[in-house]
Amino acid sequence: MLRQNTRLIACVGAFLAVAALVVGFAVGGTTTKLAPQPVAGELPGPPVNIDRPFVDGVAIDVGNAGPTVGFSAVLPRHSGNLIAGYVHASGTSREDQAIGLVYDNGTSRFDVIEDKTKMTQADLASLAGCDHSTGCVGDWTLVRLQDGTQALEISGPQTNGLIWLHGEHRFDVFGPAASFSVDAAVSASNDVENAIT
Amino acid sequence: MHDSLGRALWQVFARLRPIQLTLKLRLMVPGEVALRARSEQRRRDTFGRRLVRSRRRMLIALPVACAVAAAVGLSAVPAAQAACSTEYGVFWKMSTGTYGLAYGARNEIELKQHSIDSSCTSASYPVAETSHLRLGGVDGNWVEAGYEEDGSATPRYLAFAEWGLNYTTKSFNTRSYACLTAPSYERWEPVNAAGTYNWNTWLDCEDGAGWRLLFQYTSTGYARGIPMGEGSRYGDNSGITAVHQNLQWQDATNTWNYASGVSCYSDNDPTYSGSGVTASRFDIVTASGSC
Repeated sequence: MLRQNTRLIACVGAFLAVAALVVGFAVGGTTTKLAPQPVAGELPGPPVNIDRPFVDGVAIDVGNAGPTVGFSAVLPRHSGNLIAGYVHASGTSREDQAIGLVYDNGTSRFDVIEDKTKMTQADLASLAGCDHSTGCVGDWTLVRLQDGTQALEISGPQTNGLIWLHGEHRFDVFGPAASFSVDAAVSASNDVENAIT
Repeated sequence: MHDSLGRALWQVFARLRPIQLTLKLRLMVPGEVALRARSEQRRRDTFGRRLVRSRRRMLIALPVACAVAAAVGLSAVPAAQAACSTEYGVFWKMSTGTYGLAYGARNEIELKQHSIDSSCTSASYPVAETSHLRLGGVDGNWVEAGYEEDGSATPRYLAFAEWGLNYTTKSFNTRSYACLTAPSYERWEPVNAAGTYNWNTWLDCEDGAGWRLLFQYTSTGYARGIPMGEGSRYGDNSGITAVHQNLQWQDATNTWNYASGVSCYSDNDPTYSGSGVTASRFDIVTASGSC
């Protein structure tokens, strides 16, 4: 009996050793081969900077943004603390102006960008779908906000967010994927949309 | 039952032995511990007391092999991931004077052979130089066209174009051209299709063949952007030095205008930085520091 148990233990040990070798090889070896490499079709976007929504951003008192951009900022009521507000640099035409808000919800910072656009719902809908074989990254899907507004949800390795249209205004809410989940993006987007209506 | 199960497991183990023998060096060491233990058991199978001792050795050796194999195997992961996945980028923007956002960006970029980090495989393209716009002036929205260089000993260059929103790539396309050989200069151009939110990307190899249409992107939601030049790389020892000259931007009348100045926009590269040379040229050079 002792001999049988010893053999069994030895065999199980051997099997575990082989399994460990195989797993070690699979994890280590595979990762070596498939470690993130800048192969064609897998280049990421620009480095993420949630605190700087605009390239040419100028900090502004959000309450006084109207004269600069031609519309008043929509402020979500329950999404966290407003950290900063930006508009494009002086000299930017009204047509190109926008308001960029940086919020902190306690878990993550995120941006709320609002501008006027001639983009149509059809334009937005046409961006749904993501063919990874053509280099598209993440998931680009159509979802509905609580009030039924159709939005484009973009979830990628770097950010999660939603873009939608309300009249002639476009809203873009997004934050770092590591701290701003898709659910958080949907929640913040609903908060923005509800603040409009 | 235990005995038959044990025998079956031994058979599986024995069949896996050839696989073990083909494993690479980092896995051979723990593998040999297990195999030696097993052969020792066979040698002493006819010597009762020693059999028990050898089995004890085996019982010690196998978990050791197990732990070492797992440790060695797993320890390779962060090392592999840390190398060619590290990305750095240098972005310099053009001044359009008082015009504001531009409808296109044109950039004549030096194509040369760069050093490539040894961790980047020949299947990867760790170096890129582009003509680039941030759509709507929003930091996370962009369209660009340029070349990328692979990690093989004799480098291959691909023309590529890309665009995306919220820092997430919507499309990325590549194409090879015989004219893309080092050393040379080419002109690269993402430009808005008038009256639309569509963008076309172009390449001029300056070989007399004119502009070659690369890829077209539709319904981006933006007709204008802030024009820039970019050099990006993966791997600590990859290089991105290059001349970016004759920087131009397009206005609403489809006229190309030379940049009235260049300035650093972002630079997270510890080894390379931009250096303004003229109002419409910056060079990416070896230099520490950011903007």
